Amino acid sequence: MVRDSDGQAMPGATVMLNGDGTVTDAQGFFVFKNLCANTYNLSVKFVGFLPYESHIELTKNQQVSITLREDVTELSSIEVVGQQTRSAISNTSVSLTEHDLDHQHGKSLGESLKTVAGVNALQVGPAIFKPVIHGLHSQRILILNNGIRQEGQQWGIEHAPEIDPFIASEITVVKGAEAVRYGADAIGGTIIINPPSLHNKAHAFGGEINTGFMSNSRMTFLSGMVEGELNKSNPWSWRLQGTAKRGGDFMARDYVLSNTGVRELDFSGSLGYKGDNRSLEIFMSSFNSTIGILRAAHTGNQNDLQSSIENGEPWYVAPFSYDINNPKQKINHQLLKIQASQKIKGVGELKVLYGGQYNQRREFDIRRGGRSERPALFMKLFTNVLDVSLDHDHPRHSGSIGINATYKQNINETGETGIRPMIPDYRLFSSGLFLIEKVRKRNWLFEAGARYDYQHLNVLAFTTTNDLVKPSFNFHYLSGSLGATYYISPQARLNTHLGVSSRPPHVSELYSEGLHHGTAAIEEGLMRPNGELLTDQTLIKKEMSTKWITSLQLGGERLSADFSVYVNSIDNYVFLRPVGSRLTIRGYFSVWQYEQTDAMLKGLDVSLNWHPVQKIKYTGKFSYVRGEDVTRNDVLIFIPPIAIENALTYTTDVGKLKDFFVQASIPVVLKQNRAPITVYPEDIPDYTGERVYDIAPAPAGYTLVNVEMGFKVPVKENTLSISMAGENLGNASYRNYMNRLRYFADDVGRTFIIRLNYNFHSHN
Amino acid sequence: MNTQNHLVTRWLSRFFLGSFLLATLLLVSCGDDPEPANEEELITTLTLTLTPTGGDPITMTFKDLDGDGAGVPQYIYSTGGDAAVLSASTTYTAEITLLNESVNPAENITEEIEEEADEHLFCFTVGGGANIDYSYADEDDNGLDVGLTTIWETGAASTGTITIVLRHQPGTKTGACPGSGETDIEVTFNVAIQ
Repeated sequence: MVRDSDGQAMPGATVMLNGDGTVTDAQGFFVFKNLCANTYNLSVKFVGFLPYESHIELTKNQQVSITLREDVTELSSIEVVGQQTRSAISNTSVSLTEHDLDHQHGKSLGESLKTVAGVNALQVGPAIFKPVIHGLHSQRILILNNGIRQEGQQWGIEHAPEIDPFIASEITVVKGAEAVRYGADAIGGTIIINPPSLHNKAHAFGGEINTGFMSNSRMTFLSGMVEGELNKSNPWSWRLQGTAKRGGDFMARDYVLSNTGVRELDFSGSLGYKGDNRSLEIFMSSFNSTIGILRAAHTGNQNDLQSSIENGEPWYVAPFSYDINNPKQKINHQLLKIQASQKIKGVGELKVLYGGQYNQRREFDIRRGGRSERPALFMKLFTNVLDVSLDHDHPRHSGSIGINATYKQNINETGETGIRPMIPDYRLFSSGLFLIEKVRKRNWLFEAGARYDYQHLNVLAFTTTNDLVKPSFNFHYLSGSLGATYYISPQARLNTHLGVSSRPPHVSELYSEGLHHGTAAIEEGLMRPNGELLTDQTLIKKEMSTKWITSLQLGGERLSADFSVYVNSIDNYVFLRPVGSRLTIRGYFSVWQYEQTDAMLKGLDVSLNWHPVQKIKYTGKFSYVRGEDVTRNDVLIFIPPIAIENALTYTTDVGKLKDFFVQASIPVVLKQNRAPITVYPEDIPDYTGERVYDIAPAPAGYTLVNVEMGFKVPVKENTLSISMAGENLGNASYRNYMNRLRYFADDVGRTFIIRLNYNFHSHN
Repeated sequence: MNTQNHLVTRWLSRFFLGSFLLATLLLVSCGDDPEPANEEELITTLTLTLTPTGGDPITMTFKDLDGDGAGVPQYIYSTGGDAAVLSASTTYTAEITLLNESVNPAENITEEIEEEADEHLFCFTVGGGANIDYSYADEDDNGLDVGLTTIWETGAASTGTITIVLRHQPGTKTGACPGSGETDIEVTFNVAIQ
């Protein structure tokens, strides 16, 4: 059984025995049956407490009693499915553990997250992945990077999160609306990127090296991390980490996807102090990448787009190259975090967090007159965040009260670009106040929260005749949530969560104006209809979301599963609607206007792990989401189609090789049968309907075959892990509905990946 | 308790002070207003000048001063009305001029195209039954057609359209229409041959 240091039973703690997991019941008990006599790794985790780990020798039936000690810094270990946490994350989450992330090394954050049921990605080619949770993305998803809201230019379809996944030892996806804790940009869900805790090491110095090679795109990646303590008697710890990545053109089955290379160089460092009652952490990270955009996806007008779609393959194919030419993106994201906490006797823990971020995005286009060296879009976004919270945590109840303040400034360097910016300069100040409480009662856990936000937005936009207009807006908005978890048995719990939140439209939704080259479409914001520039705040309606999600989670030793159903009703849902065609000197372009409608998203996620025998594991995943435009009685565009994945893994020890495994997985993606109507580019000027359309039909469904094998080799005290994977082994040619490049080219063909991971540490 | 509180306040105040110092460093918050973009690359105006041997030139102009904006483009024909009136069985020298009239003074874009002739190609499509034959009268450094100057031969009386497309083909120009690359201009004029 598991107890806390006061001797209180701890229900809901996660107990792992050699990779099999269970959860303690309401009395703190857990059971593993049918074990062979052997030495086992036993670990117990509970958020807010130091993880317990030990090797136990099991020879016969044994009772184990474990006492968990409270962890004073806890932020590094938010949440394993369905546990109570001080930061009051609802129980609707799924985590990718270090083990899961190992299999994703070399891939971008968005691509790694696709392995979670219910999470998809909106892609622009093989290197740009935006996470989609339950059909929502961009400014409706919040990414918490090491405790800080990631503030980049999330609004853009081709703007992927500027985060190096190698910094994470765990990534948690919260599928419930976490708007109360983090603000209204968490309507769709929250992604929590957690680096390993700085202070839970049994050794003074250690580190890890990851490297690998991917045959398709011939990408090499190298990531290293070292960490240690300043000296033994000293409560200061440090970590340095860096990643370098270089890949060239990806290959589809039949041709090179020219100009899809990637280059990335990231580094981060942290320094932390941990005393008995207080802690301090300083974290800095720098993310720098250059990403090529498929050359053939850069089109002129509608006629160009029409011929691209008719041709069915890219008009530009060159031999493989590592060169990244225009069109391309260069993105830099710098982040600084300073966090301090202080325990106050009898009250709880006070946490103060300051975060500064600087995001610089430059997009380069194919231009005339030697201007290709100049960016076509150049934006600088400065963000400062201050969060102060007071957490309390008692055996029977826990909660948090806090304030957030954010100041953002967006600057377009139009002097550099010589092009009207897509979204205007703006300054935004926002502040929020929230309150969350959780109560444990026998087999029940209840949670409730409320939040109030104020936002002051100052926009600096130009009319079509280049007069500067400076409208200001003040928004007040509320969010609330209620949740309950019932522990049916030690291995099963039922959780339900209702989140209500509202958000004012983002600047991009209000004041966008300009041309998207990839779709030959002019986009205009809610406040810029037909090039006008409106400033009247009464015209702006807030988006209101009500999301109800219910999950049944099973955590047995042979069977663990998660079934989630959800309904998200969104009033004044902001979306882009085609409103016509516009003649310019470059020919015709379709015009898309931001509008608001009432939308409904419903869906179901299932993930299942089953060990028919100890060495064999079956994993199944299923996710379905249905998007509906209720007001207009239409479908929503770019909603992920049904995805099903089946996998079998065989694990054993072969002589000295530990954890030898072979895995085969078959991901199946069905055709999106609820896609919008198709209006081909050439027919757009004559289309007079009101419906949202797509410029090509949804692609057919597809099935891929992936295999992977790997093992661990002990090297003295350390471990070397080697794995080899083949993805899309059959070299299928297919197109993915969620990939914006499907109008121009097939998706990535067969690839082989080799990954090496070496862990080292010393007890000096 | 008091000393602890005292410590906390001292420690927090230090922390805040540090934070705000950092914040002021990070914030290059200048209260300056942004400058409008100087869209020097924009092409607003295309004029096709047809000069018959020893005669007066005829022009047709397409003008769209606001680029991608909602403003409606204008067609201006020197012969009036909504079509360029040409004479039957006549040879014309056709020259294209491009301007950016969104800046003051207006910028001549034709020169830019001439300088990068090896990346540009004008393609012409005669539509709607107009009796016109055209041939290229200029070439780039690689001996490939450009189309800033062409020779037009009109036939019998007829009406129709002529579409002018400027293709931008850095590194991929072969001289064949439409070829690879992007469309930078696509304009259709009405013509009447009398």
